[in-house]
Amino acid sequence: MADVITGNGKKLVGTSVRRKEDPDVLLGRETYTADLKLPGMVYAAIFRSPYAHALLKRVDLRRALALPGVIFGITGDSLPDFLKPMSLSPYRNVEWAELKVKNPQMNYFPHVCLARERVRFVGEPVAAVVATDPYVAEDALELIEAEFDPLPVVTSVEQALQPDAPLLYEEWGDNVQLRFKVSGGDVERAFREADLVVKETVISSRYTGTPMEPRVVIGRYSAEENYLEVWDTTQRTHSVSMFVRNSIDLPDLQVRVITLRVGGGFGQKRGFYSEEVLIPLLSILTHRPVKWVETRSEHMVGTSHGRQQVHQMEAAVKRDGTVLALRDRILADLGVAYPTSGTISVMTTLMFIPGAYRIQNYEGELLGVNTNKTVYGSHRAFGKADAAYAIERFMDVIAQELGMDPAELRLKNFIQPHEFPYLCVTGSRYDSGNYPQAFQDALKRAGNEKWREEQKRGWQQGRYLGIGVSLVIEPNSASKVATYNAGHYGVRMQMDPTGGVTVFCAGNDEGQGHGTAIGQLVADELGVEFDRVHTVEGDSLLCPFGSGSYSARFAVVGTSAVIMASRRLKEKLVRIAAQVLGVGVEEVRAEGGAVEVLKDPSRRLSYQQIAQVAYFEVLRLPAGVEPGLEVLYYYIDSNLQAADLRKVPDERGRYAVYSTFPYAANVAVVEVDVETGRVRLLEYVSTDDCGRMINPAEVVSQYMGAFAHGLGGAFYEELVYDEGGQPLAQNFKDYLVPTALEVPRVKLAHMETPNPFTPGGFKGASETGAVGPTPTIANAVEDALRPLGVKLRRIPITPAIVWEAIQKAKGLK
Amino acid sequence: MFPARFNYYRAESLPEVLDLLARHGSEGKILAGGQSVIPLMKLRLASPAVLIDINRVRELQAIAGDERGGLRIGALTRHHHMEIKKWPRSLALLMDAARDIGDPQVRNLGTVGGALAEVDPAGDWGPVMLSLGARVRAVSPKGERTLPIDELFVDAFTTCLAEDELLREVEIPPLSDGTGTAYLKMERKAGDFAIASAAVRVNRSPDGRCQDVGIGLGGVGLVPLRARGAEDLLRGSNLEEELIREAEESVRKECEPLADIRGSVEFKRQVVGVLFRRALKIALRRAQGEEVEAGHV
Repeated sequence: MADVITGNGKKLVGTSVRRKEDPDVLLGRETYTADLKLPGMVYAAIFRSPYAHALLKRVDLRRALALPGVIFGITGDSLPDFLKPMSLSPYRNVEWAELKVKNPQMNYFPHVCLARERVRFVGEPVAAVVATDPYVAEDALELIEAEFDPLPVVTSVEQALQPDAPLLYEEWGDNVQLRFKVSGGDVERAFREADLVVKETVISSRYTGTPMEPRVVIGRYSAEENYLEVWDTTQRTHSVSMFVRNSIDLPDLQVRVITLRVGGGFGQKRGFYSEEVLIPLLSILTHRPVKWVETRSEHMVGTSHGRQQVHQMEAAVKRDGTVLALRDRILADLGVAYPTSGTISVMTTLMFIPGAYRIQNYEGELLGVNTNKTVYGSHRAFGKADAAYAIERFMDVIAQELGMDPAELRLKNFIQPHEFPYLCVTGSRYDSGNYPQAFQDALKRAGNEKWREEQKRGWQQGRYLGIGVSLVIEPNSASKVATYNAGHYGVRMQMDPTGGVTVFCAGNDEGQGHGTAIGQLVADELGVEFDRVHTVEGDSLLCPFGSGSYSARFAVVGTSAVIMASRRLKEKLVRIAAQVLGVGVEEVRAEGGAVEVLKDPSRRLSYQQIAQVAYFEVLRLPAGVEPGLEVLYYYIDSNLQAADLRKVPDERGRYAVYSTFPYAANVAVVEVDVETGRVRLLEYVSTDDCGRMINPAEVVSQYMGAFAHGLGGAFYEELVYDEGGQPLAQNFKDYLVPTALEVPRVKLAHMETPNPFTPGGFKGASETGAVGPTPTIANAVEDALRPLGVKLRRIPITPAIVWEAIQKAKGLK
Repeated sequence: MFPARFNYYRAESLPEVLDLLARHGSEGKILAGGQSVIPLMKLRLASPAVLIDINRVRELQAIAGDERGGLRIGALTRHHHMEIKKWPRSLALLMDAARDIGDPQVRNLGTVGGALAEVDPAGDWGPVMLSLGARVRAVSPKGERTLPIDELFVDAFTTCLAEDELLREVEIPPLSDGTGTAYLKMERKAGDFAIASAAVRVNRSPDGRCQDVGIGLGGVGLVPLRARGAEDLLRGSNLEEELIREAEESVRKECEPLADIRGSVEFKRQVVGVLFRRALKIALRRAQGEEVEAGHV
């Protein structure tokens, strides 16, 4: 399918080793959380608000509780006192006021797992019932009598910011949850010195990730042990165990969160949701294991959304195309103020507006605005897709204003290869890259010049072809110094007495193939066989701490921890072997699953023999060496440690937030049917650089999955709300996810610029595939319609939108 | 997804269906392919107390020619069977429509009769059968009747059939020589319901005159519509380019689209006009004996 350039020859890392995970997943043998059935298990169903904004007058469960099979019911008013507001803070009992800092200015609402007094979006949990059968639980929902007093609804940022707008949280005095500013350089001066100032508004629509497996939570509480087990499809096993522990304030409660194989995350499972408190709570209150399986309809309203932003952009430009400075004012539609990472996600957008360009004068301002919609949370490429979309669209607008080829404008402004590591104006240090080379490669492979000629011919014949280009960066390994995700990752590695290796890892696997990658890494580092490496993840008690599996943490800090732990284990093996062989450690080496004497390789001990000494013949161990073969390694991201801007954030809002910077250069060729607004994607070319590749086939398959989602954002996926705040896309009939029929072949090639800051040279792969399509395709569509003077300022680019934009340009509307 | 409690009956023969309809017609729903009713039940948008499964009833499954040269399509005929059948060139629109309904799973189970009786405003078989001037045969414990397909569609998701009546088959009248047909729809993505669709049947005499024409429209009204005004304009004409443009405008005026997630009223009028014109051109080429793919819009 794709043209893969691999850099590495002999070792497993860098080769397309077949995934360990596939047989069980593909043959239906894998255990997912919804498959679990525990003795005495009961089933919860959640009654959700049908109103976007209303006072909650009364919730009456009596008829529901009378239904045979229903064993319990709960409402916001009947929640026990030990339940505390939900928070993403890892600290317990932190006063809300303490969390409120000056920049960002953040408002908090002490949210609990069921609505009290007021509902603020369609889908908000209002009550829950528990029954011995999931059908009965669903029947019981229909017997709940709830009375609402509808309030005026806010559905857009423009409306929310009106002085007389209805308020979601009256105590705040407005609908702004977040205010944040970042700046660097001398923006005023750059604008004074500019030949030209270009302004444009770029808008993106609300869409979301739709993992095949929706969310599932099971709670099992043992009163005798005061021990709560939670099975949860989260991307953040350890974090959720802290959050749950902080929300359920029972003295000495011990919480264990277990994450089994997860059927896709895409950021949506990175949130902290009401159900993650509610279901464990129901188990505590009923003394039964309680299971909740999210339906697709619930997922569309109850799981976080993303992407809805308005960018008011300004650039100071020289005639020759040099972009001297940028300004952006973002209005982000955050939905309700639930405790999710939506706020951080839109801050991330603000940080990466300068993108791949050498722009050292930048001023960004962000208003995170609340509306009566589902909460904004993390969503694939966490805020960075939005930044790339805005800047890459804006670069085309600038090019058009200058009468310059959009490719030429980009080449003029790219950060140059010799400038890496490059300190971005907002505080992160870009690790490495070669943007001009990737960009030229993509243009060449797409046949840019040939298409330009064909475009001219086409325009004369009423055929509308367009070529769009972009270079998107997709920063990875999000970290924030002095928080629980400060770029660290724990790995415990253990060699058993037979020589097999088990790796206990901080994260969990939503489909990325961690077990395969770990097998490759450990095989290369230790010289054990790939098949003898086993991975255990997703257990907050068994596995060392880590903030979760998102932002390509595994590929960056996770793999680094695995490599370093392997080296530490190898050291111990060598030390024991040298002692047993009666030589110094410098006289032996580890090779092919054994330790041998350098001068006489016939004198060797296999790992299994060494392991037997370590476990069974402990008196033969060198002095000071503990029995067993078990090591622990916590890796800390070195690029963040070395960053200049340690303050979080500094006085101008800057801070180092990401440590690796994968990127992709993209070219799209489209044809537009101007009668119907239909756009056909004729060609999509991408040159992708995720640093050194661990498993090229895995990179390609993840890229293609991401690309499908990006294509969805460009053409299909949109969470539309009507004026009353009713979501119009609550299932896959109305919310369109591209399938194999919509996803064309991508001409994908890889460049490998190793990351100098990680031991493996990895950067985290593939989310560039989700970021590239929206700006590249939008640029191409606008390019196709240039003779008509059509402006497209929003996604998704549906036939209706294109046709209406054409009518507008023709002055017909 | 958990439907409400319901009783399930499986009929083995037509008399058994009629018997069950007589007993449960008012509270029951027919289960044919189930591609609409089951999702609705899973979402609890429909909670029929009784499902009458007709999938084993052989009498409803045949596609057969009739004595006048027409066709009878049993209500239980699957979309897939419509897709793989070798149709005469004059009925090429049946293939155009069948191959793009839903996805393979929907086509394997979904039925022509079920889709017509569902009266989804954006369904495919409605406009197709309207353009062909089809009739439907309905049967009930009281007897049988045949009615023009136009009369079947009363409102969105509502037929004129009584509670104890079953749509038994669709009759397509014989087509005269020189007939070409085509069906075009525009969907947001494969498997979606149509933004709009147009079915055209046109018959051209050797001297180029339009002897007869049928135009069915989907997705642009509460029910599938027939564009009678445009038909009248074209019938008897020489199908001049200008007149076709006029008919296209007439199609836009005759339809009654509603604005929704698929687009505005103006956009749907625009699209249905384009689809009609393009379908007509394909039908005319087919009438001349040309092999033309309807393609995707």
